[in-house]
Amino acid sequence: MATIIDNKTLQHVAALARLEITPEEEGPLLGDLERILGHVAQLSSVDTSAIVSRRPVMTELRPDEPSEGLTRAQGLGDAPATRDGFVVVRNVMGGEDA
Amino acid sequence: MPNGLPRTLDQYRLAIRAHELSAEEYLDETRRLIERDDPQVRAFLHLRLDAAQSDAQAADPTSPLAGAPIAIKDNIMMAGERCTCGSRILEHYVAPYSATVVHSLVAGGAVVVGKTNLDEFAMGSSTENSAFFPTHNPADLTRVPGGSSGGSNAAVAAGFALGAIGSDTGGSVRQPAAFCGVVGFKPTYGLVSRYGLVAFGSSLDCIGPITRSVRDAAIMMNVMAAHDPKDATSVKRPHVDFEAALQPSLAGKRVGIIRELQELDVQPEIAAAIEMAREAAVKSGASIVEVSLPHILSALPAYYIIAPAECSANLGRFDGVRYGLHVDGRDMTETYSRTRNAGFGTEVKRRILIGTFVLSAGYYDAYYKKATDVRQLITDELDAAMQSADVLLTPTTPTTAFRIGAVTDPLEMYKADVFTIPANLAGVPAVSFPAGKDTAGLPIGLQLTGPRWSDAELLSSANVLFTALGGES
Repeated sequence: MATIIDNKTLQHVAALARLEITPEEEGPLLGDLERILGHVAQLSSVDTSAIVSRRPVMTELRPDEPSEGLTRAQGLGDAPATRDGFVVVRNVMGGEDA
Repeated sequence: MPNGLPRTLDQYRLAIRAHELSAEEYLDETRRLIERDDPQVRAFLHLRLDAAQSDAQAADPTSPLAGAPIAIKDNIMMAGERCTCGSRILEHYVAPYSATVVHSLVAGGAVVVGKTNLDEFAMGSSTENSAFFPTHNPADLTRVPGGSSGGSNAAVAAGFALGAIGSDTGGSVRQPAAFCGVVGFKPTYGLVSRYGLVAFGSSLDCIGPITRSVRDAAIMMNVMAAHDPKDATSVKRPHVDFEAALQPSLAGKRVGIIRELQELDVQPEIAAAIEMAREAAVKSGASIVEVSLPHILSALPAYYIIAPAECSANLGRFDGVRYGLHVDGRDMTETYSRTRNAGFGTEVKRRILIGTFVLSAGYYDAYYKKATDVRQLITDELDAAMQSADVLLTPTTPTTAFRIGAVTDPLEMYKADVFTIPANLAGVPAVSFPAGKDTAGLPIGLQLTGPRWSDAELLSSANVLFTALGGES
């Protein structure tokens, strides 16, 4: 079977997943992913042309109405950094943090 | 447990109601066992024994669980307690609310003794992937307890709790139940609320009970099964009394054997246990039928596309911003990736990468779409097989518990779930129950799978076989 995933693809996928792959991790990860993806690729030989995938049966959603939930303090209780009742993040648009 | 103390939830409840025992006395004994044996077994990530003591004092002896000690897998939230998911990224996370199922258990008289160890984010089959430490199998401390609910199963097997709950995405309640010699039940998808369970594979995840007898699983299900408006996949069903539904025989039942699974390599003692169960079923009035599931062996590869795909989406929420570990970077993107790199272990990263890959442009149809089609094919085949059989009998695992450190290849580890995965893909109920031991004295588990919403009947059938093979009624 042809190589499914090379280091360029791995770095691209890692960037999409917001993961950093260190040079030491790259070799073993490539080997593992190659074998796992090689194993699951056997599905390509299954004939599914007649299959109509069905969405799982869902119950009706509850009415979209305000109800008791977490307080602001509870919601922020585990945040790494807060200020004035808000979560603090890096400047997402670039430039200096406020 | 020392002689004379109840071994099961059922016996415990009878003793409490007969005033032969109090919840506090039983908790004291449990505490002694935990303090003596858990340093070796390491089932718990955090204990709350002092809080449990006051809960036991206040427990209502007439409630369904009557103050029984119960353990909770550490990916299910209990307000005010840590919920780490076995991961560094949530090492210091404190749950701001309780899972619906934890509410139900506590309201039903459960006394929560602690939160149990697991493979990180429930990804693994041995509990060796916990970021903190591996759990050991109480039947042989050199062996794994299975996973990912290894801590919950080890806790019940070791007598640290009369029951526990775990999550089952591909077998994570049932496979460790088989390895530890206890009962593990995965209900029909939608029967037990997952609100407050940290999501891994949302179309697969179920919460189920882990107990020392099938009757105990029914007792716990009576408390756990309820419609929950907070979980959109929770289904409104007529009330069922799982314990009252337990029947004494298998009269008229058709026990299905899956033709395609006969070719699989299983440990000889497990094959022998299947034979014993078949004989016991026939003796109890059941007939044996052979069913064909032509694509059942495609379940494992389909699962290892679908589960990583869903995990890669679900674990996107761990970004170091709103909760959990935070490692600062130069900008937002670097903060995300530094946090996630420091917080996630190898197996979690592997699965996120596979999931991201199979969902990415150019690969989606060949992998993810194909896997969901194969999933539908297997589901249709299972539904068809259930027309000619009331339950399907298989081993739970191909082998008994392996040694800690013995399986290092991720693909080999995945194969431990070959018998358990189909039930998750199809959303049907399945239960693992103990059926003797192998020549090394390690527990063997057998599995019964039933049609959707046949949970009570399935437990009844399992109870007949479990007691016929020497289990406690």
